[in-house]
Amino acid sequence: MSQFTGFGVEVELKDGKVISGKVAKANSKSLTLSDVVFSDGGVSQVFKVKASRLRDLKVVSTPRKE
Amino acid sequence: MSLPLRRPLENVASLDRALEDLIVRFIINCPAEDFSSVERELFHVEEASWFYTDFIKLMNPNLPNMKIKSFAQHVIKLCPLIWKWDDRAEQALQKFSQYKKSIPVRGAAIFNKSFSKILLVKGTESDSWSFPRGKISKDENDVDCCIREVLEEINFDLTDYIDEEQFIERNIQGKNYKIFLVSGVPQDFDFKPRVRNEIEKIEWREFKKITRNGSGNGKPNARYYLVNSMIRPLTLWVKSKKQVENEDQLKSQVEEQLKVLLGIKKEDAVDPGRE
Repeated sequence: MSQFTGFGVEVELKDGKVISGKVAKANSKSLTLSDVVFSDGGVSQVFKVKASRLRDLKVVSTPRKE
Repeated sequence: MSLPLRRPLENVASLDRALEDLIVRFIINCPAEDFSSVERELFHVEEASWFYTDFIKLMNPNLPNMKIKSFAQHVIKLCPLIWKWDDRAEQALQKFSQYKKSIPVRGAAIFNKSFSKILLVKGTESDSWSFPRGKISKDENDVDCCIREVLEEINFDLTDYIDEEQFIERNIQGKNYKIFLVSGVPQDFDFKPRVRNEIEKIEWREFKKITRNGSGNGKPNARYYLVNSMIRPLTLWVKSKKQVENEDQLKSQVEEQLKVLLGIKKEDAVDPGRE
């Protein structure tokens, strides 16, 4: 679903971890983020998380128009 | 139980009796520091003259109309002991109005929720519209002054709306104006002045119309005082506020859609700070 691409999100997993990044891909099964920062300080280019592991999601920024 | 007092003001015997009463109320019993300059003493004379027009004159229609000038002259003639200056009342009043021009003024640009309208007031002795505003008092900070003056003029308490970082400042003819930017004030509130004989009208005005009138031909519009010189920063502020609002709307829309798509249930998420 391209309509969500680029939105900055903060997701909380069911195990309590918090991950933030930009939406690269989203469908009913999983969410793929880019430029990811984990709550323990780790970073990653891409991160894919199953929808079933998500507890909460917050949109924190809109795609930059550049 | 409180003592029942008579109401001598409702039926004053003469102008002199009324003025004597006012001298006691407003002037004679002031602390010594309030007699330290002509200007400070005249503030009390001014208060007394307002009380005269707002109350005594209304209860006793046969008394003469008096502006501050004749009022001051009368008072000094009646009780010369209160006047220790060499200045005559007339000159002193000129000094007084000169001094008042140097007192900083605080006010508020009040917008409705959608930023389409701005609340302006028109004074009784003025033909132009402007923000509710007023002069700062002794030892008063900017925000408190703004809240007090706005409450006096339109009976609306801005305490929960004002942001001390959001303001426009201007110096016009040596006088410092600081107008705070406020939005989200309910449009259907019953605005009315708390003080008498100061504010004639309070109205919501279309912000777009004001901008057009104000800057259209490069000539300042006499009908809007102070608003004119602040049109640009006001417009910019409204624009940025609207943008933030649109962005917030977009964010919450996308958030909702994403949650539906990914199957995140709302009851899991307790998120304070969001409605």
